[in-house]
Amino acid sequence: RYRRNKMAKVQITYFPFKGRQAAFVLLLEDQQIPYDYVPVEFANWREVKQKGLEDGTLPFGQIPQLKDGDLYLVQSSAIVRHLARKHGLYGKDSVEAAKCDMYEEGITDMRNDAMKLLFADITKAPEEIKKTVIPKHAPYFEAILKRGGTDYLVGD
Amino acid sequence: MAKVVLTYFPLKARLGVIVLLLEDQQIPYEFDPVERAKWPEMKQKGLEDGTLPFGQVPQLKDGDLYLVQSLAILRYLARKHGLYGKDTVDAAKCDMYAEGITDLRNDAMKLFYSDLPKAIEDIKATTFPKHGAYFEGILNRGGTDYLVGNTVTFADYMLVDLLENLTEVAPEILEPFPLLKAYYNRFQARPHLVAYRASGRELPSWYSWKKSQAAS
Repeated sequence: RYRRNKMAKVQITYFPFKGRQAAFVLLLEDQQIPYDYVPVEFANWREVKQKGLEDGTLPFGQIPQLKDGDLYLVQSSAIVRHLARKHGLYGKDSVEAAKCDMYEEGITDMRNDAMKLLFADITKAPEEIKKTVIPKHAPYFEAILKRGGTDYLVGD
Repeated sequence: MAKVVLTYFPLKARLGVIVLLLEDQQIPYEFDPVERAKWPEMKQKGLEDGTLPFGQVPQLKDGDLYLVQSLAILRYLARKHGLYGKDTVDAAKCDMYAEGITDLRNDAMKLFYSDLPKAIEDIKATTFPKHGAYFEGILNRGGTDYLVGNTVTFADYMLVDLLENLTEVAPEILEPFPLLKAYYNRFQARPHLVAYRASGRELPSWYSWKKSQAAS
């Protein structure tokens, strides 16, 4: 007899560094959700990208990619949301889901500000981030946590 | 179903995509325009009482819920009104394409406010040829009138709003992409959107506002 694999492992494809996969790997590890990791070597990337663009499994010619059954997903935020929806990590109702989205955008704004500095001048970036990004954005999240009064950004 | 209230400057900018959804879906809303002179005080108050957690508008008020960040507002309305795909797989595709649209927007808007002529040149020569091809491929593989499945989703409103902004400054960018061009024209021909544009209520784009300033 054969067993149906109800919850088949998802498969992540990415370069061998944290980068854009960090957020959802954090989720998977913290939630103990099993996954397979397929590293892409830089030497093979061009070919992988071309094939993915042609067959539609890499619609924007980028990784990370998540394979979940027949679904091929790219864009790290979309991957995070998909896993969140699947595993009950999107807030308890639509109001909390909206707050998750709102804070995710604020986090992305902070990330973008920091990344801009990192790409402009990697040696100067740490100082610049300390001087500008943190003082601007951290107070927003400090206040969000203060008003929320729990251990999490949204709800309990 | 009490009306939602939108607060923003009297410009399309970050509000455009939200209004596109509301108007096309005939969802009643109120628009509370921010006067520039009053903004610093509004921002301060919003930061203090938490109704503007990032000191920014647009803001949506729905009953007791105060929401900021245009895409959070858009997703909230999409969830509420069945515009997030028919199941979790389609929802994931909406999110995936939303990110791709945001990538195009970020590339196109990089120089927009600092060096508009250069920005337009870049959009025509590199940015749109690169990203337009991705969406042409998506529409080709999907084979429907929409980005995801057989019905409109919030991802469609995002793409149409962005294409509206980009074709305003660079009208011919859609020419190499027949499916994308047909998709855009189909959307612009939707009756509620035609009526909205004819109503005189449509907010100006930043580009048209800038031109009117230069002319005056």
